[in-house]
Amino acid sequence: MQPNKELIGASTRLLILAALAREASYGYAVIKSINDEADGLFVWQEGTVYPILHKLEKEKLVRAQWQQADTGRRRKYYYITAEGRDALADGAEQWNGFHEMITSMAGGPNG
Amino acid sequence: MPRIVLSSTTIRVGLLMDNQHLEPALEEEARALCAQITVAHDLDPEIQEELYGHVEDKILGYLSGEVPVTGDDAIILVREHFGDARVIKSLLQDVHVTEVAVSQWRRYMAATIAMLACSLAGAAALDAVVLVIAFFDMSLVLAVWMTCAIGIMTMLVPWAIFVYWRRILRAGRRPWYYRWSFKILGAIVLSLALSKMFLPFIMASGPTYFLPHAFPGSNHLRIMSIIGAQTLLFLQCLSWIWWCDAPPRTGRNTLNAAWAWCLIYLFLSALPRISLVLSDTMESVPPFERVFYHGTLFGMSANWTMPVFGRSFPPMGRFGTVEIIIIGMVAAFVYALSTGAVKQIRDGLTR
Repeated sequence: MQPNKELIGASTRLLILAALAREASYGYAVIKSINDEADGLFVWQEGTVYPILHKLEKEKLVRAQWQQADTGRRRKYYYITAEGRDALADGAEQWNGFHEMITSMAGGPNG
Repeated sequence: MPRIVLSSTTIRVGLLMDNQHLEPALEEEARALCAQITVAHDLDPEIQEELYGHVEDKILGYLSGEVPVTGDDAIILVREHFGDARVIKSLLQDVHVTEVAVSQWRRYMAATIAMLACSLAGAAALDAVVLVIAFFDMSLVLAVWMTCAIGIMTMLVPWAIFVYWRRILRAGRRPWYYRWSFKILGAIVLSLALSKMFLPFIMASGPTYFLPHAFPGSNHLRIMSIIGAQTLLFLQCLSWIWWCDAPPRTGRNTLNAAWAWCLIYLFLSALPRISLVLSDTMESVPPFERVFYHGTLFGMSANWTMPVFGRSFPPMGRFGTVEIIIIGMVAAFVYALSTGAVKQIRDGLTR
């Protein structure tokens, strides 16, 4: 089942922050790791991720730095900042809240 | 360093290793793609460089097999290699012009059968309603609403049939009207037309019975019913044109479809029908047409009138014919405007 676009859109920022919280990475590698993790649940339109990365950078939730990748090619690496980690924790908490509420209402006696 | 060469005939792929880069021609293509994305927004070269990095990784991933090719990817590749579908379609249509014309005729035949069958079913249902109302002395208001409902169904059901047939065609199946010969299709049209001719148009006359020729109610209701009938005719014509709209969409094809609808409609309307009048008084039946049967008085006459929601007019008369043609032409124009056919027709003329 392909989740709806709104759901994918709402989770994109958090997923990027979560991926960068694991390890600093560049756009292509971030997208690949998330697509691999999703395991077919959804597939991102790759080009649309860069505007979000740039927005996160402007909001100082991530910082970017050009450096040599493992492949030897020069890539723009993104690092999550302290503010980014706070935003991730905040967002994850909210997301969990919604998740619990929906699960409880859908699975409750009247669900 | 392994080399990746993309040419029109061969791709040599080496293992993905450090410091691997694209061949200059491929790199140029990739940079052009990134420029297309960024130029419009006047973004700085650093962003272009970042996007280029992504495209480069993706290309190398595909070539090395690291990135698996999905079904969607394969379709994109096939489409790209196959050529512009619209151009190929147009070329095929030029070659198979006769088959396209035959297909169009089959569509007309199928639509005629659908329209005739619905008209026949509608007429039979109307007869049943009038009989029930006359024999059980039911309310006149009910009769009016039932007649309106049957009239609307008779107009709209062909549209539902066209939608269903289009789904079948889109699924790649060949419906019966493509498999059967023109002789069989013609025989069906003829038998349906004859059935309609011999199905009596039953009217009930009397103080409480429903007489379709005399539409009850105020002038306002009468006018509304006439407008409603014309709107339904317009919608039916629109659905007919939509059904007949098979590629290539040209002005001539759209107009031909509208003309076909007009001719079929006028043909159906012109079919003579037997009128059967159930009457207590026989006031509306000439004496020589009065028949007694098991104590009930029946009146029978053949006429050339077309009942539309209680309004009668000679279908082949000047007013009726012009009205149908106007509806057909307006529907063709509206359809052409709404589907962009006007532009396509213009493009076709200038091609």
